[in-house]
Amino acid sequence: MYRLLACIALILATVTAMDRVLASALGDLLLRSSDRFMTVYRPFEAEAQPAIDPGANPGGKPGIKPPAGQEEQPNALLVKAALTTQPRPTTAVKPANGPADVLVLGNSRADNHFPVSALQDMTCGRALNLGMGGAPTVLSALLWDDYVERHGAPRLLVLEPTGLVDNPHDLADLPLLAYYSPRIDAFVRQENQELWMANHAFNLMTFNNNQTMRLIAGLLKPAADRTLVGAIPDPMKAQLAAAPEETMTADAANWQALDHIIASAQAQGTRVAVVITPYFPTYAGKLKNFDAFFADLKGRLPAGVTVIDARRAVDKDELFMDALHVNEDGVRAMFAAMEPDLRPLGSCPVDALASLSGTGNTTH
Amino acid sequence: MSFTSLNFLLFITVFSAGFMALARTRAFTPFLLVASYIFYGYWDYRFCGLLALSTFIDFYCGLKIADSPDRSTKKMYLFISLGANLGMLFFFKYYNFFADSAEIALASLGVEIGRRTLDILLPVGISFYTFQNLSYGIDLYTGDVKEPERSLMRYATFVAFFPQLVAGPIVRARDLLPQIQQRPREIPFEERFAGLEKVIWGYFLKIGLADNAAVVVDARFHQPEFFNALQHVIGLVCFSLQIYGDFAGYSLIAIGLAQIFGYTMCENFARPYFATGMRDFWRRWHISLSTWFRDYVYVPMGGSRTRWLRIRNVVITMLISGLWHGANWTFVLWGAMHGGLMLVEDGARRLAAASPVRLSGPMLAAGRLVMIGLVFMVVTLTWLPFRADSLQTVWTILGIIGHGDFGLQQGNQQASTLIRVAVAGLIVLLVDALVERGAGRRYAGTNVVARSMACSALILVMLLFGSFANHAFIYFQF
Repeated sequence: MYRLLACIALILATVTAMDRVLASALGDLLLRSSDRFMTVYRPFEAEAQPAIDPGANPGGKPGIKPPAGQEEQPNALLVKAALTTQPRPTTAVKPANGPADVLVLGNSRADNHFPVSALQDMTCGRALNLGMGGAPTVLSALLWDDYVERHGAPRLLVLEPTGLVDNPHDLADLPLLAYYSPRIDAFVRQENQELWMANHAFNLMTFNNNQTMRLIAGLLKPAADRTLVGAIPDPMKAQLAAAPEETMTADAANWQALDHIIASAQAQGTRVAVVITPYFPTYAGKLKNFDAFFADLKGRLPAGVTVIDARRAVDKDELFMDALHVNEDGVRAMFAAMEPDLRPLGSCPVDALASLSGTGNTTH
Repeated sequence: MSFTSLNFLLFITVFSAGFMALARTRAFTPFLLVASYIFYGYWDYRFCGLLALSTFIDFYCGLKIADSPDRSTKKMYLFISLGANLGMLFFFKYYNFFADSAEIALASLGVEIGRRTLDILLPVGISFYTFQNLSYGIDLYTGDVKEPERSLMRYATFVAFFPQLVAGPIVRARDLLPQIQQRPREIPFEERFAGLEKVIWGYFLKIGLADNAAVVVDARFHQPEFFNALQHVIGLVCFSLQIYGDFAGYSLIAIGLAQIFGYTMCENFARPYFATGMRDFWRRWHISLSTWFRDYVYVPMGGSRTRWLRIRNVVITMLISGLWHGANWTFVLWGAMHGGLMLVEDGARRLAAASPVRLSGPMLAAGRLVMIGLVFMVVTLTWLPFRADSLQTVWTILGIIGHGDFGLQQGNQQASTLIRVAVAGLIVLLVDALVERGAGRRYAGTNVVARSMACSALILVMLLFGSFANHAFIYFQF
């Protein structure tokens, strides 16, 4: 029996040692993925990106130098060590010297409704979509803080706000990012002690999630837009029609996170657009406080925030993938409807805007 | 408690310490009994009372069967044992099913009898320990077991032996009781290490294969209308993998744990998806149950003495086997499908025997591969009623598959889960194929350090690809 125990000890020691080595190698490897979340944690190489003409950017801050330390980014393999240092203090105003001029935050409705290519066309700037399936606004705030801390503030923040009604304790695909972010690691520890302990006992378990597969795919090919393809099936329509009524409620933690994101963005000179994307009409009809909830949201937003209410911009069944997501054609229709409001927030030359008839956006 | 819970890790650590301290003392059997009841009572302490009652009845009847001077008295005690065991099983597992079915049948004839079902909790593992107890009484009666166990404590330890109590293998008294009587034997290190390997492989089957596949399967059976034919076919293949990984995984953990502590239990799975026919499948799948039905149901009814007896007995045995798995018409349908398939195979074999064509060499090997694929497909189809919660779900899924929409939908949220299933499935397929070709014996001769490294590699794959959502073992519900 003692020999068996010795073998068990040998197996455990091997597993522990290999776990550390493999997790470290995998962590460094995945950092090179074209997946959008890795863009946050990978040092930004400005020369590799298309140059943006500051003069053509109405919302930009021409002439402002990158923040201190930005020029001395460590190489990819050293980035994890760099991230374990204390967060860098942020200055009051930062230019969009990071990988994105336009940053998108929110849950899957942000992820699937704002293809980077469409946003780039509409805003004439580099776009990065950090929408995460199932992510409450609390998680969006963590991603925002991580992004700003590493790259400075973008010129425009597009915020899809319906993560407000998601469970603020849901970690979605966040745990993997804890490997790269002390802030997210601390949050995972606060929300799920058991998961945090497991991930620290065996670091490979941090990579045991769906996000890893996407990151690996991002190593093999450039990340594509995540717009959904297909139409809502008839059984789902019938189920939605028969479903009981619901009430939209948002947790205080999500409201605070929303306030934090907006305040932080505005303090750094970032334009903020809160864009409410379409709901499947049948489902919207089941939400008792559908209009009241969003009226309340608009009322809470501080001055200077642009609200684009596109909830009813798409209404045909065939343009939806499910109750909460429009499909490829739906996204096209949504962007067409939002163009007068969204395009002026971007960096497009003035003559490109001249052709548009009226803006109609609401600014608080 | 479940083998995949952290509580079990604590339990087995304490048990191992107790084993090392007490294995050579008289205190070991009581220690094993108490540990087994703690293991079982962790689900619900009330289950222990039923287990103890069942144990006492069979212990008493066993003594009476062995000691009675005449055949009629022996038979009377055998019937008491059978009646008590089957009565308990019927009450806890089947009462609601039959009451419900009778209610529906009478309602269709215009007779309303009102609601007659009871709010009964199904004790975990009742089908397994009931069959174990039944075999003890029958073996004593037939003389397959010569001497009854005269110590209630030892008999209770045999029934409650924790590795196999909840989901088998169904170990016969003649195999396990002598081992309980003699206390754990001193076994060579290599045998204990082989037990450890079985445990690790069992966990891989459960956490790496079954629980990942469960995510794919559960989504499809929860809302079948939302998936097309291709997705349902993928779902069924995943369920084939899930149920194999789940049950073979549990059996291996049980057998491996027992082996580490010096007990030998029979093999329960022998790479069933390499079967070349339905008969072959049942020689490889849930071996302890299929041999139980063969010895205590099929053979006593006359076996295959004549062609008509064979047909009748196969159908009856498979229907009972279906019902044993669960109180639902879906399981009856599953049993009927297997019975039918075995009879079809009988017919095909007769035709093949009469045919002048004889395959050999590469043609035979290719034929075997085709048969393996065919049997897998057929068995996979039979898992549909086994997994469905109602016949309505079966027809719904069959209708969707029949509709023939095999288009690949984009934006599939389960793509990464399917990749995990594929990774684990390929590892299992590779290992099973190697064992099937006899690599197991060569591997057993490999250096222990190298084998420890292989175990470590498997654990690392589990850490990276395993599902730790702690799904319950499927066979707990039976």
